[in-house]
Amino acid sequence: MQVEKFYYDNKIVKAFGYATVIFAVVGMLAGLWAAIQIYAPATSLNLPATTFGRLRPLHTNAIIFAFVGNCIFTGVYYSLQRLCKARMFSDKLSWIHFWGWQLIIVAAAVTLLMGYTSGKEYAELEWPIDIAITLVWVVFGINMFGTILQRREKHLYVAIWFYIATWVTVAMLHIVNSFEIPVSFMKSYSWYAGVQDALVQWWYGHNAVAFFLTTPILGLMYYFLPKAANRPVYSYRLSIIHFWALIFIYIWAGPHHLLYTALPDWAQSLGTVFSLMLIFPSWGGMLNGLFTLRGAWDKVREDPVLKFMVVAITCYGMATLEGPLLSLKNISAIAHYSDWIIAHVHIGGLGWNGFMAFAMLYYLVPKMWGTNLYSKKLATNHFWLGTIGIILYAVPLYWAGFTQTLMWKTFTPEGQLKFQFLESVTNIIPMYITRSVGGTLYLTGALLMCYNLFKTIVAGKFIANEAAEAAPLVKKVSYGKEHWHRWIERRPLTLLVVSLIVVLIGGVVEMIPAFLVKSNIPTISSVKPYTPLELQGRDIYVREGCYTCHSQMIRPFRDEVARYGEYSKAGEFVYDHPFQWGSKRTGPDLARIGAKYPDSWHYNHMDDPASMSPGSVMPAYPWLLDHVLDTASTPAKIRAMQKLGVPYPAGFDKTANRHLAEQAEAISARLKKDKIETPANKEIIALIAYLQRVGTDIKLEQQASVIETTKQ
Amino acid sequence: MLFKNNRYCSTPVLKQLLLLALFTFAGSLAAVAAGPPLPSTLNNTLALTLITLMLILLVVIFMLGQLLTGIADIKLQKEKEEKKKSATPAVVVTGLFLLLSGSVMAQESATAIETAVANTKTFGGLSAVAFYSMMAIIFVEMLVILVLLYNIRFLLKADRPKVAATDEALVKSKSLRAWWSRFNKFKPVEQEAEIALDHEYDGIRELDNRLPPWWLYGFYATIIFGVIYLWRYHVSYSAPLSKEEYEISVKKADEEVKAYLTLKGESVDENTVTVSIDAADLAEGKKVYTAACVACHKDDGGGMVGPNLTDDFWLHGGDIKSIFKTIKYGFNAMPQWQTSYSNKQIAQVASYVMSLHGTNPPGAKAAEGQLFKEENAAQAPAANAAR
Repeated sequence: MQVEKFYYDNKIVKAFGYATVIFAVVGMLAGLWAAIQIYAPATSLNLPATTFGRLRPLHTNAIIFAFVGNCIFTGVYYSLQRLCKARMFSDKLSWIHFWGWQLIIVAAAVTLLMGYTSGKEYAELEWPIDIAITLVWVVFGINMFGTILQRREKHLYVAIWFYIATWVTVAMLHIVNSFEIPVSFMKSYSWYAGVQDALVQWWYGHNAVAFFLTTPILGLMYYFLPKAANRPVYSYRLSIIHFWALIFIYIWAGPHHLLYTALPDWAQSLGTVFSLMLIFPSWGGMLNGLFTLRGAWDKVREDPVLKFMVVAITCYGMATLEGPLLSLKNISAIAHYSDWIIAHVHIGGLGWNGFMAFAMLYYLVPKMWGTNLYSKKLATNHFWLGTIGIILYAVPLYWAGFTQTLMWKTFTPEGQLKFQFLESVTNIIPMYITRSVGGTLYLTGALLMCYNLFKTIVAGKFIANEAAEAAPLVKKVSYGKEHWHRWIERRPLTLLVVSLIVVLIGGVVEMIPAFLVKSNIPTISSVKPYTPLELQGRDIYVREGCYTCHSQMIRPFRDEVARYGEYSKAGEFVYDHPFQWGSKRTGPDLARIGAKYPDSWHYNHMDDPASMSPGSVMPAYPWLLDHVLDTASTPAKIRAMQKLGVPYPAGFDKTANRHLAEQAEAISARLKKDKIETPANKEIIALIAYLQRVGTDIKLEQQASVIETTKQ
Repeated sequence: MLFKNNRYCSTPVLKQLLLLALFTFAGSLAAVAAGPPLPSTLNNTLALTLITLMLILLVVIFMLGQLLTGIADIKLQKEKEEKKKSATPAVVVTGLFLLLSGSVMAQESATAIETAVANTKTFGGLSAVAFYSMMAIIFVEMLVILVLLYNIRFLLKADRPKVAATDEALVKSKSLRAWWSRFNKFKPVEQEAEIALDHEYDGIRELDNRLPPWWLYGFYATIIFGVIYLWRYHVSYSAPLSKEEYEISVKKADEEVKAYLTLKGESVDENTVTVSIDAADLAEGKKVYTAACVACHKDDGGGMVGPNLTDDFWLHGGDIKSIFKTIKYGFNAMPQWQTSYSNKQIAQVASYVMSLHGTNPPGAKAAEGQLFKEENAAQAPAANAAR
């Protein structure tokens, strides 16, 4: 048969590789800065853009979508061409994908720091960027499928199954979770509210971990590990079963982020059991990775690439065992909202994602520049710095998590809470400091890698187009006796469709009843929509990223009810577009903050938190006292809310600002009584209005029922 | 050597096994008898399911036992033809093994009883004793099945060609590695050509190793766990959901606190509180005041965010009982402190606040609320009741 000659496109791989390295450093720096702010709030510089609430989303988005995203594309563009024995479908699409993605990242960084956020974790980007992501993702899909359809290899290798499942699932997650109604160019409200928004968000959030940080990286592992170790993959049938089981089960696990919340119990239980079932499918990937190294362990001692991979896969195994265990209700009860979770995700992030990316880069750069790595010794040092960094990062946080939860839950024998919330924070500050030392070591290691790769690149000569040859595919009628799964490996589109069906099931079963069955969210008649001023205040709350440190979800625990008040009910959140339940309590829960303190307390607290609670690590928000509230947006916001079903009276948008001014004047007057002179048109007034409202509606109902009973 | 010898295990072992099976059966009867009155237990679906499961497992044990005796008989015939070897060590080994499983059973039931005594919970209508003993029996039956399967496998393995056996022996020389290989069902690296698949992708070949057994059974176990979990929480309602769990924990805690306070005799509340002028009480009260109150009322009580505490005007009553109540339960912007401080501490801080009366600190806040004099005391509770 005639052999065809063609060239692999290394240039696009190089571009994505550079982007990976750059955004690794940027994302880690943002993370380190945010970590330092937790014990040294002054490092927020008192500027809106550099305060934790905006820096933290920048860190998570930069690491997930910029660093790991570019790492995925680097690996996919390199391996897909070679596994399909074909050049990428279209160079033009490759470059549109590359520049499109980098533009999205830059736009994301700028808008997040400016405070444009949808307030949903890992999906903070506003609607124009959401649309851009969708378009670029489609470009990537076309380019990937174009390449697959032009392949010179009849069957698809397991890495490509993972790429396909990743592509289709991420598309589904992103589109469903990003349903939002635009208010203005850079402001929108989530389509969903309260419990439903939480369910959709964590279905998305959990599967961002699953299908952005796990499945594509497993695909990369299946390519780069056997290549680097020069060993056959351990088990084909393990690949098959763990692939299908993993993608099917993963999608169900989202509700484990919402255990003991106002989410209906049945959904919580589904989250728990499917998470537990995930242990072995996840471990299938780990086993196939580690067992592939059987007979090559002597190489692991020598080769930094394999060293990184072994630790990465081990971290993957640990994180995927820990995750399911954290989904058990009794473990979630102590771990959720605490630093334990931060430690857990960083075992995955630093260990699995980071180390896989480093391994891939150390493998690829010498290959593409036709030379050897500049210094193996330096890479080994990077490996040790990184490993020690991970340990120093995670261990203190596990400790901090345990300590803090225990302090939260401790009662005196007289039945009082033993510790103030603030005591539980100041007590773990040494752990926070150690954590940032661990992070610094890890970052230092990454910088060593930059230098090492730079020296390698300088020494080598870049092979932009790598020559290869293979025979074209011929139509074959019979394949003889073969494994049943080979059938679908010849049919990329069938694989795509079947993957989509498999990942649809979990989401459909969990979400549709939560949307359609009314008993899941019992109505509370005293819960009313926010006033225009409160709505504006809520948008400020979202803008400043308060949810990154404060939850608004009191779980039905004795200590939480004693500390914060009546536990949260599903019906309280029906007008919350988006929900703001949060996932971490660096500060106390705010679900019942309303009417707890005087207006002047909030005013002083925002100006300088330590003045009201000495020792507080909350950053100051002095700009809220100076900025004038943008009331021009009020009518549009009211109209958007009406479209989402919030029962404001018809025509309310026209009178909303009058209502807003009245309420603002009243707050200003109350502040004046407490010797605080401030005009009523400042942002702080709106924020105070919102904070004084949060969680109070249900108190009205209780008072009403008290009056009812006294009347009788 | 031990494993090799094990292959020769035969009838005596089987007798022990059957005895064990009988024991468990008897045990299960005993357990049922030990449970709550028979009729109620037998009406219970959970009990019926568990008993059915026990019986099915028993049948499986019986059949496996038959199979094992059959295979062993054939083996024995063969064995007699070849030269005889001492069977004693084998018996000892298997005996040990069985003893082990027996002791596991003993431990199981011991813990089951302990837990049963400690808990008076019920499981799907079954008493804890009955539930745990049934579960223990099922567990033991499963162990017996495992032992049987293990022995059957050993007997069957002896049929394999001698060459493979020596290879295996070689590998087993390093016992930990051998155990690891068997645990994962590894194919030795030298033989992997046999299971290499006939395709490669960019030079990557694939083997078709069997699934590690522990992986596969672990996966099944998690699925079974999932079914039981959902069944307990959402079908049989035998486990408490979040809200019930909360109510149970609060009830328990309340009882504990009540018992503690009764024991300690420190049961001051808003009805019994009196003004204290004791210096120690006032010092304690001042400590709490400095920690909790100064942010709003200023250290001299002159008021800032909160009202002036030193003048004659009170928003919610100025007698000790009203002040105690205001501190304990809070009022609008005034937070409630009952979750942070004990009644005794609240009484102390209330006394301290009263001691500030009339100090006229500089820069004090203007008067708020009603003029309060001792003789007005009767009106204050009425004001409180109105909220």
